[in-house]
Formats: sequence, C-alpha cells, structure tokens
Amino acid sequence: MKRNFKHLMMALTAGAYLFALSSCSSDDNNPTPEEENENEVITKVELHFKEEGSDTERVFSWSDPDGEGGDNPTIEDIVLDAGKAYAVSIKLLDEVNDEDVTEEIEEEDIDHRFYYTPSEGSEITVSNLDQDKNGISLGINSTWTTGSPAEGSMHIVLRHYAEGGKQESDSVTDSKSSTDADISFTTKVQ
Amino acid sequence: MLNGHITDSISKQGIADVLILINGTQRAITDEHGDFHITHLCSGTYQIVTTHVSYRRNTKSIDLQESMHLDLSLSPIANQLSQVVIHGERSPEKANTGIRKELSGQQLDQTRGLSLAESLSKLPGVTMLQTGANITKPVFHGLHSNRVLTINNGVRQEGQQWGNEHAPEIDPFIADNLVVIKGVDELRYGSDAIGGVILVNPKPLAHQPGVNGEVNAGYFTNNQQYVVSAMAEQQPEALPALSYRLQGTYKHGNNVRTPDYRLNNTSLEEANFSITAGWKKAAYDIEAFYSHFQTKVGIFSGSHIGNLTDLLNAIASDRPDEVYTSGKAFAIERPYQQVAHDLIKLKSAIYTGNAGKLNLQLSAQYNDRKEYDIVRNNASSGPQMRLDVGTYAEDLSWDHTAFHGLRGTVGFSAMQQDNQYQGRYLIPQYTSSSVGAYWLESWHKNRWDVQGGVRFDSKAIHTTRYPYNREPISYNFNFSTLASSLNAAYHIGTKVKLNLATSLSSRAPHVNELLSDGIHHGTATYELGDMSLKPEKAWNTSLGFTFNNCANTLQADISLYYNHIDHFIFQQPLPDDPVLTIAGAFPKIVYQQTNASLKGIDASVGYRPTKNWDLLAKASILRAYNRDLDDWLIGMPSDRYSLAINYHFNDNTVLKNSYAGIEVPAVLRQTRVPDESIHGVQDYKAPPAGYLLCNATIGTQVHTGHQPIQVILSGNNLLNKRYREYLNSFRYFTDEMGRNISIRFKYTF
Repeated sequence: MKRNFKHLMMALTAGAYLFALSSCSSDDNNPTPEEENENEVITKVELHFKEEGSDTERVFSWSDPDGEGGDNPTIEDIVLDAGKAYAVSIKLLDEVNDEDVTEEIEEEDIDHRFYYTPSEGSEITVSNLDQDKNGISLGINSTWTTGSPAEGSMHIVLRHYAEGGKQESDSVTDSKSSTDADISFTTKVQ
Repeated sequence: MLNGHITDSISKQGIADVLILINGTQRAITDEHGDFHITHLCSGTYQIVTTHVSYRRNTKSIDLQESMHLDLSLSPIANQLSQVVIHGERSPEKANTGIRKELSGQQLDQTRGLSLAESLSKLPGVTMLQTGANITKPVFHGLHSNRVLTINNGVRQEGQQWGNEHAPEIDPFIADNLVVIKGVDELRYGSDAIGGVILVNPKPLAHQPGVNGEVNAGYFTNNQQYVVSAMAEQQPEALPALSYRLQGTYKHGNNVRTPDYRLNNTSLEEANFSITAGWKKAAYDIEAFYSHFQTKVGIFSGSHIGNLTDLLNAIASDRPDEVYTSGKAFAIERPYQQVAHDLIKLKSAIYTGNAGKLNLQLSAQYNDRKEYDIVRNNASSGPQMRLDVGTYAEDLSWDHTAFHGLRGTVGFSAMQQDNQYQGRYLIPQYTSSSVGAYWLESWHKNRWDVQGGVRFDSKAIHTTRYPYNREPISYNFNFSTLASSLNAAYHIGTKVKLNLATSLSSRAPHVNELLSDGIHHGTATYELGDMSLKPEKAWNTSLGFTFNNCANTLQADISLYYNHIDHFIFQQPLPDDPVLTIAGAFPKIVYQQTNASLKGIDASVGYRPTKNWDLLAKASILRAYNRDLDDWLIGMPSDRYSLAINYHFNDNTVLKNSYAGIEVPAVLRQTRVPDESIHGVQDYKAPPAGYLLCNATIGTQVHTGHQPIQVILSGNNLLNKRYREYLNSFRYFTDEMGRNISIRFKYTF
C-alpha cells in the first residue's frame, strides 16, 4: 500500500509538471518568430532642392536600408550651382515600416527641430527656416544660398524634446533635447 | 570536546544517522556504530536534542567542562506511519566548508523593502552594479550577471541576467536568509559559478499544527516609497501531512531625490506573490511552489541618449537639465522596463531507509521582459524590445547514507530553454538544452571537515535571427564544461576554524556574448558579439579564518581569495572604428577574451566589550587584473570599509531587544582602471571621488499585545552627502540618492 502510494505521488508530480510545461508553452509565451523591427528606424533622408524661379527638382539622399549596423549607409554628394538660392525641404523615411517620418515631425513640431551647420568655406548659407506652432524654428523647409564654387560639408541634426521646453535660443547640443538623427553630406558648389 | 554513543533502548545496538542538535545551532550525526564527536565546543551549559526517523525525540541538558562522553539510549517509535518526522539531515549548505556568508535575522530585517542586491551588499565582498537607484545587481568578488548563479528557493533563476540593466526578478521577502557561497556546494547548481552562488532560501514549511504569519510594512521618505508584505501559513490539525503558505508583496515608490534635485521618471512599482504547499510523510515528502514577480521601473529621462554627442554633453554638465529634475509625479513614462517572472516548482523526496534519499525537482520558469524607449512618435504604444524566455529544468539526485564516514549526493540535471524576441534586435531567438551530472562527497572526522565534488555539463544552443527583409540566419553552438572543487576545514581548539577551498569552474559564453549586434543606448556604444568565444575557465582558491571566543564577545571572519580566470570575456572599446548610423557615429565595443586574475580580502571583526556596546568593522578589497594586457580590468568595485557602533538597551517590560547604532561606510575612489596612455581611452569619465556616508538605525520590539511588534527606524546618507558611485552607470549623469529616512514594522503571529 505504502509503495503504491509512493508511485501515485510520483505520477502526480510528473503529471503536474507536464501540465505546467504545456500551459507555459502556450501561444502567448512563444510568439511566432517575426522579422525584427526597429519600429522607429529612419532608413532614408532626402533633401529636395528647387531653384528659385524654376520647377525642376534635384534630390540628394542619405540611405541606410538595413538600419544601424550591417552595411554602411550610402551618402550622395550634394551638387549645387554657384550663386543661386534654393528652396529646400527635408524628408525622413522609414522604409521598413513604409512610413513618412516627416509627417510625424510636422504633427509634433513643437518638440522637434532641425539644425543645419555648413562647414566653413563650403559657400552655402542656410536661412529662412520654417517655424512650429509656437513660432520657434523647425527647419523642415529652408532656403540654401550658394556663393562661389567650393567643396565642403553640411551637418544636419534633428533634435527631439521628449520633455518639451523648446526655445529659439537652444543650441544644437541643448541638454533639454536628444538626437534623433545626425548626418553629414559632402557638398559641391560648382 | 563532546563524544557520545547512542543506542536503541531495547536492542542496545548503536543507531546510525541520529541528528544531534546543540543549542539549536551546532549539529552532528552519528556514524554507523552510533558514535558522534563534536570538537569545537566551548565550556558551558548546552541543550542537546537528538532526533531520528524511528525514535522518540530526546532532550537533555549537559554541563560541559573540558571534554565529556555522553551515552544516550532512544526508544523506538511503535507506530511509525502515523508520525510526522523531522528527518535528521545535515543541511547541505550549512556544512559548506568553502566561502559562506549569510544575511538573516536582525540584519535581514534591517534591509526589508530594499532590492535583493541592496540587501546582499550588506555582506563583505558583495557590492552592487547599478543603473540608477532602482536597477541593481549583486556583484560578488568583482563578478556578476552570468558568473554568479542565483538560486531562488532551490531553482536556478533563469531570466535575462546577462544584461547590466537586468536586475534579478526575485522578491527578497520570500527569503528567510540570503546566502552567498563559493565552494563544493555550487556544483549542485552548475559548472559555471565562476563568481559564486547566491541562495535565496525561504523558511521551511511549518510542521506544527496551527496558523502562523508575518506582516511587514515600510516607508521611505526619499522617494515616498512604501512597501507591504504579508505571509500566512497553516498546518491543519486534521491533516498532519499537509502544510501551506501564502505570501505577497507590494511596493511603490516615487521619483528619487539626490541632495540637490529630483530625478524625473525614477518611480517603480512591484507586485509579487507566492504559494507553497507541502505534503510530508515518514517515507516521502512533496512540495509545490509557485511565484509571480512583476515590476515596472522608470528609467531617469535625462539618461536617454540619442548619440555619442548627447552622451558627451550630458557627461560634461555637472547636473542634469532642469526639464529632467522637476517632476514629482508617481506616473511612470518612457523610458521604462516592465518585467514579469513566473516560477513553478515541484520537489519530492523519497526516504529509502538504508539506501538514502531520492530527490526529484521539476521546475518551469517564464520570463517576459519589455523595454519601452523614448519614441519620436508619441502615439506608439508598444515596447521597442521584448524578450521572452521559458526554461524547464529537471533535477534528480540521490543522497546516500553514511558510508565509511562519507556522506554525499549523486545528481543528474537537465535544462531546456527557449528565447524569443520582438522589435529591436539585441540577442537572437534561441533554444538551448543542457545536461549535467555531478557527484559530491563530504567527510567529517575529529577536527576535519572535507568536501569534494565534480560536475560535467554539456550544452547545445541553436540560434536564429530574423532580420528585416532578409533570410533568417542560424548558428549552432556546443559547449562542454567541467567543474570540480575540494574544500577542507580544520578546527584549532574551540575558537579557531581554518578553511582552504579550491574550485575549477567553467562557463560557456552566453548568446549575448556570441551574437550581440546593436546600439546600447545607455552607453552610446555599438555592441558586437564574437562567435569564436571559448568557455571561461576559472581556478578559484580561498583561505578562510574564523575566530569566535567562547563568550561570543570577539568574532573575526577573514577570507582571502584568488580567482585565476582564463579566457575571461569582457568588452573592449574600439574607439578608432566607429559605426555610422542615422543618429551619428557610435564607438564600437566588442566582446573579447583575455586572461584575468581577481584577488582580494574580505574581513569582518566584531567586538562586544560590554553587554551594552558592540563594534563591527568590515573591509572588502579587490584587485582585478588583465594579465594579457598587463593592465587593470574596467568596472571593478573599489576598496570599501565600514565601521559600526551599536548600543544595546536593557530590556524592560514593554521594549525588548532595543538597540541604536551608527554605521559609517567609506568607499575609496577606484584608481585601478585601464591605463589610457597605453591602451587608449576606455571610459567616458574618470571614476568619481571616494565617499564617506553616515547611516543610523534604531530598533526595538514592542511587547504590548499578545505578539511583539518590531519597529526599525533607519536613516541612510543622514548628512545628505552628494556623491557618485563608480559601479553605477548613472554616475555619468546624476548624483546618488540623498538622505533617506525609513521606518519598518514587523508583526509576527
């Protein structure tokens, strides 16, 4: 009798364990493998240039389709004509999730800001940045003016104010905001 | 010295395996002839309790002089089946002859409401690895994460321990005692305990009929944190074999305050419960345990780093911007982490009489970790990363009865693990399965305690990564690891114990070390694993000295250790080879192997010159060296000392066990860091200055009703000192917590 009972307890133990195993491995705990998704990745930045008084558009892009890591990004040189003024709009794309990130930034314009820093001697000046709802610089649209032929670079930074507090006087390294995008292009004015 | 012989009152034969308890603390077991010896006893009066499965319990008081022989006879129990019996085993870890440090009783009560790592850091040799004030991991002798196994109620904790920001998913209120060991007993749990093992031990289930319980409550002023924990257990009189326990804890804290500012989004919320049920008969027992742990922890919003420039700017300013330090709300916002851990365990033991005891333990764990980052689009609601790991483990072991003075265990264990991820890539999906076998023996004679053991494990890992828009990538790994250990303890007279322990442990690289590939936002680095990593192999030798005079007025515990680790896995920054991303360039940091050595001293000395005063001095010193580069290792705890003075009040009718004390911990600046002039810059900021704190505690037991209420009033960082700790990754951004006054109540029924 005692021995039978012992075997019964063993069987119960094993049974309870199998139950635990099967209930723990239900669907919720084993999500079917899905492709990874950096759900806010920016894979492409496009700069759309329209020369004043002209309808033709030039587009230069910074592209990293596999996101961070993996292959290095492809960066086109920005080639502009000397002595011109261009209306420039920036476009950020998430090709993984097929989203236009620029739309999100427009919706939350008071918490975002683009900074354009041309290198010295690049013969490019950036002005006329568009503004957010509070009248503070946003920078989705801007005007680039070129001087005489030169080579240089353009540093573009998108800052995000997760806690708000954006002000006109904030520098690109202000401690209230953090970096969403930080890229550089080679520029050629010819 | 106490010798004795125990016989059956009817047959007059010697009885083997009788447990002899002396004052409830020291213990011995009779050999096959019924003889026992206890060498290390001071003169004095002792209560001797003898217990055995088949005999009536015997209690005797003796007055021990120099040495003594004791003859006892026990009467057999007629009806064995109706008895509930306390089995006379030597508690396996109590007999540990390697390094063993325990936190229990009043010391543990003083840490109630703190995290597991904070509680353990009261022990010499244990420090904390922190990500802010709320994410803490225990560090033992400079090692942490996968190098220190955590055993939660007998089950090897399998969550996401590999990450620096992944705290152990354990409610410390479950524990009746917290123990850190290094030595033969670690082989029960794995061959990979290079740093040691942390045991979270609950109280055994009650086997006296009735209802017992405990209610703990605490409040901390710094972050307005309150914690409530309750436990109730019953052994129903009608069912003598059954006993069960229910336990639960709830904890909620607001933003942490440094001396000068508050840290936004550092609230936390934690809710845990557990159920234990046991069925105990003379021939077998069985225990079921289920626990659920759930936490949501906010991460200081000023620590969210977009890229390297942001990090360097944050480091350059001596305090965070005002937008990150003005909030007062309890609400937890992004970034935060949410973790749930479930554990179910079934354990049974069958007492096979002369053949010993057969143990079977089956466990299943499920860990669900979600990390919510700051996102550009406020409308997104899901986590940016989710890791789900399920672990099943089976352990079968056999404790054999004494054989020529040897007692031991032979065991077999198997484990299967399955990890899934969603969102951002950090580590791949993997399944792993491991099998292991171990054999431990211990031998006790006269002044000697000797333990030895060996273990072998084999592990197979199958990983698959599912990159966006590309074919899945799979890798397979196989690792075999061997471990062995030999410990010896020798008693000199009644006051001194010396012990020498040596262990070989090997640890297979974890999946994150093999296959990490991505940005670590907390440190603005791009982490890369290495698939060619080999298992780490560590030779650990320790020498221990304990002294305890007979009046218990002078106690000393000193241990020296030397851990010689080959193929030590660490992260090497490669500042000249950055990874270009949309958020700018990130410095690359890769997993590499080197040969390392970690040596150190832990010491504590307690002195009680009068009945009312006691002094306690502690020291922990560590030197961690990279033998290949001939340089110090990064991220190791600095030397620390502490001095405590307590005054014990005389009891009166209402207040008993009252005391008041001051503790002054001193932590030195870590000056032993990699030399920048030889191997380049490896850290963004030099280690912070050393610091001296002042903590005070007043405690008492109030006896007014039927049961006493314990009250402990503590003040940490009483002088509200501004300081930063090298092992806290937030030392880049913020000061440590300022003054924190707490009050704790404990009611036992």
